[in-house]
Amino acid sequence: MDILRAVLIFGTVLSPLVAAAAIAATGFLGRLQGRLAAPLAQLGAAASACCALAVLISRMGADATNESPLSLGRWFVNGPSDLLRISFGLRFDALTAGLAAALAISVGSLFAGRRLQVAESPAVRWLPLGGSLLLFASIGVTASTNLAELFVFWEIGTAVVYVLSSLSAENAQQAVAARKVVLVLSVADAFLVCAVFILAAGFGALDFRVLFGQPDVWVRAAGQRAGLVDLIGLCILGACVGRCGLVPFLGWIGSLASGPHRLAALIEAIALLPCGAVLLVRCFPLLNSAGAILPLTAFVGGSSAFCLAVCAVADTDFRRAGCFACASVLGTVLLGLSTGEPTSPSIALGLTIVFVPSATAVLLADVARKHSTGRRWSIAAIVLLFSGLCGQAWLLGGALESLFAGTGRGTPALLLAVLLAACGQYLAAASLVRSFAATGRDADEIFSAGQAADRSPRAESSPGLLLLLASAALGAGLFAAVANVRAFPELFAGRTLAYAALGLLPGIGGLVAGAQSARAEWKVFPGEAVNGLLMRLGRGGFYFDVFLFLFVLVPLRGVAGLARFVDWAVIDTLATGGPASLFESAASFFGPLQHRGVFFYLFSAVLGTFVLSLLMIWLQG
Amino acid sequence: MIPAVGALVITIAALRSKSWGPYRVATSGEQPEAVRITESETETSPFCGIAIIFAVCAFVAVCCLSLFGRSLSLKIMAGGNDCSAAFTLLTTAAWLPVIALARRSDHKRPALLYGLLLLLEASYLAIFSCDHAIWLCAALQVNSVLLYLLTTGWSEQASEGLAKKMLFVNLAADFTILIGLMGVVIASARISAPEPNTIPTLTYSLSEITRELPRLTTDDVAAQEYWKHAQRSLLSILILGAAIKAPLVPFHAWFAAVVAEGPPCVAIALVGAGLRIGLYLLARFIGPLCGDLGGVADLIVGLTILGAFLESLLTYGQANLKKMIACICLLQASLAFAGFFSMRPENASGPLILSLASGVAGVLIMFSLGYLELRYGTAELAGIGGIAHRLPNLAAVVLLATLSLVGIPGLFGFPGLFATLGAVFGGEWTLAFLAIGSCLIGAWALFTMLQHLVFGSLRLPVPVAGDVLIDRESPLVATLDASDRPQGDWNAEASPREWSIVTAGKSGSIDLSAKELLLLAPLLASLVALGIWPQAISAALRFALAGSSLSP
Repeated sequence: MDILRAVLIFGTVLSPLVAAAAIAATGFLGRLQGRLAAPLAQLGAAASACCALAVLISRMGADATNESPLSLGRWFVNGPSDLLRISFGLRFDALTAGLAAALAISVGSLFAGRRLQVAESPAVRWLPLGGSLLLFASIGVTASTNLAELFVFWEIGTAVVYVLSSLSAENAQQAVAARKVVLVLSVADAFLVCAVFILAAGFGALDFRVLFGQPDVWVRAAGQRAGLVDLIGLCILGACVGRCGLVPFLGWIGSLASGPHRLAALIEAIALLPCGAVLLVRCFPLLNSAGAILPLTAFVGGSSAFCLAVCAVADTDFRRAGCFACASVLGTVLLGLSTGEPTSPSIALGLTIVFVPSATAVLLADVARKHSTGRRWSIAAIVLLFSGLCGQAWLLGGALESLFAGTGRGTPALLLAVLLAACGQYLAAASLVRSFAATGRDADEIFSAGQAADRSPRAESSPGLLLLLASAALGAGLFAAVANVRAFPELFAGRTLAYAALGLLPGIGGLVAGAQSARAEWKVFPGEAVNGLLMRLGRGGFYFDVFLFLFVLVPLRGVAGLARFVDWAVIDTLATGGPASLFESAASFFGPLQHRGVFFYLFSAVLGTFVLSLLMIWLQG
Repeated sequence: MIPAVGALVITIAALRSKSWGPYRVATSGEQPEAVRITESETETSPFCGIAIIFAVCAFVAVCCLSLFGRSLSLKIMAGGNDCSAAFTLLTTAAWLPVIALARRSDHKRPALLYGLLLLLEASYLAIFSCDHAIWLCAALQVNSVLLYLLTTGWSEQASEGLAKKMLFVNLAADFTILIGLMGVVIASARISAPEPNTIPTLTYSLSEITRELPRLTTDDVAAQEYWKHAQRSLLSILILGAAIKAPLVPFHAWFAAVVAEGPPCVAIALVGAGLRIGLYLLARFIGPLCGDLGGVADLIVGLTILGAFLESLLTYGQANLKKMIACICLLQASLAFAGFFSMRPENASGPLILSLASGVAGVLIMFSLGYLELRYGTAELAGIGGIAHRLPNLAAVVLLATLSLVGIPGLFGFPGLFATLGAVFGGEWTLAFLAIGSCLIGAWALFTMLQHLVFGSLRLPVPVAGDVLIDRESPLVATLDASDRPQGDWNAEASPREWSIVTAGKSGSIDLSAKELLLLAPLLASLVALGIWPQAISAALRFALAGSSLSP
């Protein structure tokens, strides 16, 4: 049984990697590569999904806390007494296996649509390879057993995202978007690596079970080394914020959507956002102990949900709106985790499982055309799920409960965050429903800008594909609900249920408002001044990019210019200008050597050997 | 010895053919600027072939000795441990692209050029494998002089003053190291004879000194006292020499300029092997003598990280791609220095791996940039971009090497960078954050370079008179003459014609050929294989460092 479990776990993680290797190998086959790449990627994803589902079935009802992970041994050890050793291990509890299955099904479905016609485009040609690698990296992040291992998979994902987005850049705007993505992701990586090193230096361990197996340890650590815990929490938060495109790094999300739609789905729904959520869930005990960071976490979560939702409502491009709306879910996740409720990580992971297929479907859907009945129903199901029935309501309800009756009672930051997140949830749901509910004629009017490039047949997604993704999302939602209820029966206690019902209201309100707005013109906020201002801010991505450019990149360029001047005018002069006379003397001796013949050099070598020999003899004496 | 023999063979061949001078002379009436050395002409140069044969032989010999030397109980090299083997392997592997790229400069005295290049390789191999103090110092100084001769003799842009600056700094480092090593030799001899009547044993074997000196100074109180006084000054001199040789800030100013303006082959040699000497000397000979440096180590770490931060800013501010790569290599060299002083010497495999990985990736990128210069006949790389569309092999090489420099897992650059940064976090955290910040800025600069050079729309330089145009749209190959000036909007075309300075009918491809990929294969294989399985080199280096380190 253990062997079977090991095979299944290896199969889940390594199938995409094997598929990627096979796709890379087909590069030597010339024209066959184009035909084989997508089926191979599908095959890898399908194998991974099957293995993950098998693991999931075997994991249902088992207690994962007492089970040792599948260890693959040490990958890199620097020295005998060095703490920083990277070991690989894999562990799948039920929810993790569910997330892996959801990721694999979503990636498989990305390549299951109509065959891509533009075979010459490098981005399209390399998408199966990149998709397989991204799936490998995301499953690796999900199943990792220690923070160093998580960082390795995280970085692989960053590199693949960068290469894919850069390859797809066909104009200046997309090139800028790719550069923006990598700038932000680099910042996130730097935050995460800081967290890894501080944990290793401060606590001497990186394994999740050692670090977070006993939450009491972190309560004690927060009391004794509060600054250190806050610093690590800040680093984890920074990594997640950069990775998920939350405030203030939300600019790249809209830019990303300007590329190919499959690429946007792959990057946002598969690679980046789930990994950020998994990191937060894994480090929840640490985050919960960082007292000074929790209000910041709540505020960032709430404001991100709101800002991203406003961007979604304000944007006339469906795909961009979809990207923003999907990302706003992560804001709610952040808010829910900041309340410190013990059920939050499990609910957040469940929401992530639902998020992956539903966000993939949203980003693949093409609403600028008339939909068939099947497609409309499938999309409606996704939207319904997406709007929060299976997680957002619980997280928002948990935040409300914490605000009114829990540890965060009366906290202004939490109050503000809850209000912003509720508004965000309402707006995100409204924006999505408005997009989906629009019929062909209305869509032409509503989404007139930025859609011309997607009117080609290849941009169309089949109803079957969307139904598949909707089914996956439904199944994931049911599974997550069952798993969470089994793990935390108190979720259905009266008061918690009441707060969850309260948390459901913004989503339902958004559904109604979105349906209404599809039929008539809709003003999001009452009052022309507020409405106009927010729509302007939303269209500009709240101008966070401008702030980052003005306050980070421009000063950095200035400092770099100053450094060049100092290097040239001061350091160079001091280092080599001081002993100029000796320098000139040496130059006057060695300068003419270049004009001499080969015998001169041979003679010099002999002479040098003689002088050195004399020196050695003298020293020996 | 193999490269030195190669240089001798080239000398004999040149003497027999009496062709030390340029082998291609512009015919009368031909404009000098129209004379471009073509690929086919360079291939006919016999000296290049000889040099490549000997470079390959040296690589194969070093590979065989490194892999099988221990099992056959051979004393591989004079230095004789895996640390030396790693650096000599890097040098010999880097020399294949060095010789290949020397074609760009060999229109002037080719025999002398290839001979000097082989001698330069021999000097690097001597540095990395010598155990004898005098021969090590001699090799260092010969190396400096050879670099100077190559830079002044075959440079297209570098000024005389720049070459002199390089020579001065390197000779200063060499003499500092000579003084320090002689001091250590004499101190070792003095300590070996604690009694007044005993005859001191003078040994020049550095491995013996580094093995015996710490033991002697632990056992004997008088020796301990003597070494306590001598250690401070001797180690200061040696560390200073290694820092100048590295070259760390503030002795670095010549490096980026020579890499950018000197001959491409010298640039690769400097990035591949020249930049590694300082850390090698530190790890192999100086580190084991250091013991616990206490506050001095913290000071060195602080200064080197400040230097690394300056280098990162210089990287970010560079418009010249070669200077950018030179600066990022300097940044990683500084980080490796800082990492070395942040941990115990026997744990220092991480900084050594970082240095080796930086060398491998640096050589690959410098070769690619030099190759673009060779193909397009221009040093202005700012006008070239989007090569992924037309030169996929070259783009893949640049991409892999750059991602390795950034430190992406799965490539050789990651383990060293991760371990080094982790070691720095063992000390002052402000400095550690500064080190992370410098890596971040460096990564931004490299990603910007990739965006410019590899991705995006295709941009090629405007051809000039004498260039041969290859148009893939039609099978015809046309030579651009003076009357057929290129159009003003050449760069703005959606799909510009490809052009290259190849002779008509000889080559239709401007991408890396199979032969050129074969030359890069050792470096590419190590980049990927050691990235996937870093324990292979980490364990070997750990073993070597533990064997040479007996510091208390």
